[in-house]
Amino acid sequence: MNSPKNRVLRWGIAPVGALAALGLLASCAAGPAASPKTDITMAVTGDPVCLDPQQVTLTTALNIGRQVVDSLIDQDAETGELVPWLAESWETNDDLTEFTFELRDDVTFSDETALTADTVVKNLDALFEMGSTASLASQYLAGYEGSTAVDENTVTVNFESSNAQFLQGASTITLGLVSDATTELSPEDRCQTVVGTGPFTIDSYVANDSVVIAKRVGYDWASELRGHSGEALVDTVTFPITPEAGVRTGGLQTGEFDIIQDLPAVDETRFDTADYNIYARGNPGMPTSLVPNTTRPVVSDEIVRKAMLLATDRAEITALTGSSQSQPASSALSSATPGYSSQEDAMAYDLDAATALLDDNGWVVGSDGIREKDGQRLTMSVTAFYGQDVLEATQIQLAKAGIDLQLNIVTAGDFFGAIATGDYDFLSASLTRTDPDVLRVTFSKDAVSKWAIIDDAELESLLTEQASTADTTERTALIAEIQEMIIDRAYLIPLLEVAQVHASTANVSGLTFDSSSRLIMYDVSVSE
Amino acid sequence: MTNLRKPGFVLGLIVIALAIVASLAPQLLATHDPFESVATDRLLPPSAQYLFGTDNLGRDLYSRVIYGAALSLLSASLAVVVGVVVGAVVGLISGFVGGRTDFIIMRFVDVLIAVPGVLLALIVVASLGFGPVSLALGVGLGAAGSFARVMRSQVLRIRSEEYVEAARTLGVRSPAILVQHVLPNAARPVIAMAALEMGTAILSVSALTFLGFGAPPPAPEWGALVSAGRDYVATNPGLSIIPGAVILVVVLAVNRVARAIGGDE
Amino acid sequence: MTQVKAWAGYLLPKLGQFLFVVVATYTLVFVLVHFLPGDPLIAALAAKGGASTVIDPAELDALRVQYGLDGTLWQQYFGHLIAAARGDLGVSISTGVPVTEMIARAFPFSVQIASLALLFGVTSAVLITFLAYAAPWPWLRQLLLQIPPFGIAVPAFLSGLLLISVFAFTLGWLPSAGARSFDAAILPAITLALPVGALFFQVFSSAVLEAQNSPYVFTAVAKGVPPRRIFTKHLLRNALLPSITILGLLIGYLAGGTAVVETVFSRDGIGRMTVNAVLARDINVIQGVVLLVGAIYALVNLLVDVAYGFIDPRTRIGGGVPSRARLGAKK
Repeated sequence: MNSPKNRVLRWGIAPVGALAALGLLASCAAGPAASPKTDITMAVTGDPVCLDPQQVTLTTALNIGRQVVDSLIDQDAETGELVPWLAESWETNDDLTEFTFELRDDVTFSDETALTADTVVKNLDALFEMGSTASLASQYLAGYEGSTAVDENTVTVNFESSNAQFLQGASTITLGLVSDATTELSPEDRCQTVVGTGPFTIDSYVANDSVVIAKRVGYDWASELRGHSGEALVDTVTFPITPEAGVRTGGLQTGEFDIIQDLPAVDETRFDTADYNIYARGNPGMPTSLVPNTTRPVVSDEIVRKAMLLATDRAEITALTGSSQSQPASSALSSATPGYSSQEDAMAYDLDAATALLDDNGWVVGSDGIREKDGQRLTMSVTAFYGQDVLEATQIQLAKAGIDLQLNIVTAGDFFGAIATGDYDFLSASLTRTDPDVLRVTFSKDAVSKWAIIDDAELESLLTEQASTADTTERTALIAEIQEMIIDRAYLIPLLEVAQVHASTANVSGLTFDSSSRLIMYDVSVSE
Repeated sequence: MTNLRKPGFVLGLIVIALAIVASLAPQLLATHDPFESVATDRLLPPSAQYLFGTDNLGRDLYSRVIYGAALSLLSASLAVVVGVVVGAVVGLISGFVGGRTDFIIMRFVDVLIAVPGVLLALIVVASLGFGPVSLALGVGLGAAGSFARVMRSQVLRIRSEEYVEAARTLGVRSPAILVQHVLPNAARPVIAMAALEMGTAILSVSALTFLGFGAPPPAPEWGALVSAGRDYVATNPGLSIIPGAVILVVVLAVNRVARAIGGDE
Repeated sequence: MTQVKAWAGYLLPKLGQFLFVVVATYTLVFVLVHFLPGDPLIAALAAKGGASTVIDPAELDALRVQYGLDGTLWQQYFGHLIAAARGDLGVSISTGVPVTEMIARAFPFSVQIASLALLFGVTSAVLITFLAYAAPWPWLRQLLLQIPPFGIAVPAFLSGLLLISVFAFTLGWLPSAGARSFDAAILPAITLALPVGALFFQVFSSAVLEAQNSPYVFTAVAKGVPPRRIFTKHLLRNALLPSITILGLLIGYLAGGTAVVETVFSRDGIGRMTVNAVLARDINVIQGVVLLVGAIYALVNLLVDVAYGFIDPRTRIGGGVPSRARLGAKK
């Protein structure tokens, strides 16, 4: 014991021992867990930046916003059926330019003011005024003319032209209702605080650290889709902002977190045990894809785009980078989107066909393995701000066909800067929307936030037509036609269907998804 | 060279030699194509076939680390060169001209030193665009301040020495004195410091690539490898810990040899 | 009276130097950030608008005015400088929150881990030096002296990940992330303490070795004073003093180190705020943070100089800057 080595060791261990003691003290201070747990923790991936559900598009912000605001209508995530929520009933005219909602008369905001038809008018007017600041909302409100409060509980919304997606939009978080006081604030101020009618209220928000929401006492207007009625089942939910995936999974194991957002695909098997629950749902909308700018030299060549479509092995990309719950992408819409029609056969992986296509059209393999034609190298860049692993896998696959795809991973700011200036070969991202109108948003020349740069009158007219088609069957046929055309002309190279995968400890129950794959925490309870 | 009898120093030299080979001719050491993905072999533990295991896309981590050496070490070397050259020129001018110019220059050097290196590098990298060259400029500029100080103090020391004074009275013009006498004398401490700075530069460069300011993917920069492996820390800790350990070993080796150059032992 | 004059003569230039460093830091950063490519406002809108951001030129111009980014560069330069002198650092472009408010929120978290790291680092450096000093066997001494080079060479992201794996995930003793409780500061502080302690060790141990060779220590040893007493009574006191001079350098190091550590530990603080601000090109936040760090660094050095003036009157009369122990200069 007296050997010198032991002495060193003792010194070495002493501080560690002290730290251990501190750690133990701290865990004691946390106290014995009460049952059932009333204060729960859900680790989220990023800062919400802004708390106003009407302005935001970031997943974290939407997940938190869903708990704070209710919408006029609720949508069954499975069947897509629209059911009453804050509106008891609604009707539309034949050409989808006028919508009338009959509101519940017992709803109050958390500042104790009542929900009236006038509030709905103020919400929609304020949203329309915000314009591109509330970019998502401005798409749902395309052609908004105005709305009127017919009486205390009846409100009519008018559009200049048919708006086929508005009803569905009314069920989203984006058109969730906020109080009169909130609508009067500036967009910046609304980001800091928001007053809704939801089952929770914002308790505190410390940027880059955490958001805490607390149960709304007296809440009693959940939609019929929820598992219970009355108040939420837990008192508070804390959302620590935890970008590190490893920290989130580690925290779930040690019990620091009850629920974690975005379980990495690689960890799915590890948490697929009786001790944990996994929640997964495919995002509706456009899968993660390569979105072309067809004014660029090589990208403009339809042969090249077709070869790219054939040379990407979506099954492998999904196996490498996707959740075990994901399907390989098989159309311009993801399989969870209404109106999806599979283009699987037209875009099946076929490397030989891809190389043959390029060979036949004069693209010959150069000395470094990259093809060339008339001195033009077959090299293109893709601009993206996430999904690096998906693009790396794609890059490797395309290289086998002699296609050089350069990755340009930038910040969100640069990504949208590139869109604003049209300076890109391909963009890569996914778009989550519950309505197939996402195709118009992505491909139409006239869309406010166009991504693809394509000059095709035929496609354009189909996109416009579907947006104003009231008849569901007719619209579905149009949407199918559009998907077929997009894949046939290789206007999109779909890569991966995005899925939301979350995990919780096994004693958590009642966590569900809404139709946009955002979380609903109203029914959540935690047994001990 | 008595240093050659010390095992630590020899080990350091071997590591550095390997790192240089990896930077200049990675194909000699690599066992796989660093960009080749084998879908069936993803996230494998280290084995005879894959020395460091494979990453999430089924690429050989060992070969990626080898190929990453060029990016990481060349950025760091370039950073040191930038630091030494900028710092030496500023320090030389400041020390030699003296007076008001010296005072003003040195206050600006104070500023360079007052902004923490990583912070300064971060801003430079952000303004010049991400990538190995701007990384090197950013890190180098952060180090230039201390080099300027050392160079200046060397110049002041040597200038006061008799032979320089004598040369001056003999009518030799200033720049000539500078080149003939000051530079050779000041070289040794500056080189010793540059050697030490190399270790720091490797760490700074890897920290910045870890934060995502390096070359675009799939470039296997060491810091970027650690960063990419973080998502798998619970299941495959080797993915980030092995590249991290490689950085540690190389920096230890560089520092060990640098101290010997500085005549520290 | 002459005393006061002497002090004024000593302090005023230093104070002037302090102000110069702060203003010049601001200038340097102002120049650098105005090189930043891309429009900070588009980046800010995108951070909020995400996948459906739409850019409207008229709106951009309005926002430019709102965030003080309109007018010529000179107007901006002096406008921001004067505002900063009044304690107004402008509004963050990406979050819409006043920069001073953001700093006030994040700063305590960083101070918490930085001061803990300083404490851990300095304590362990002194401890290792003492053990090496008291070690009866040369090999043990050699072994101990190998520890600090490790501290310098280990990348913070590596030590951080290892600490998380061991203490948070395997043992479950400490939280892995966040800044919501005090014990969450311990692992990040240890991560930062490694290089900081090692840097301090280099200066401190060389000062100890120097003091060890001084006549009074020689006398004490000859008189048979036990090693521990010599260390605490003579060496520690004499060596700590020169070591204080590198405090400023350590503070600078800590400020840079927090960027990585706070990212690894998903912790709010100045470092992560800066990384996010650089990514979002949030000019106002970048300027605010660098101004703050530069001012702290200059202030610490000012205090160190003043402390030296007190302790060692020669530096005051001579008016010169006390000689700084150069890093790594072990003789």
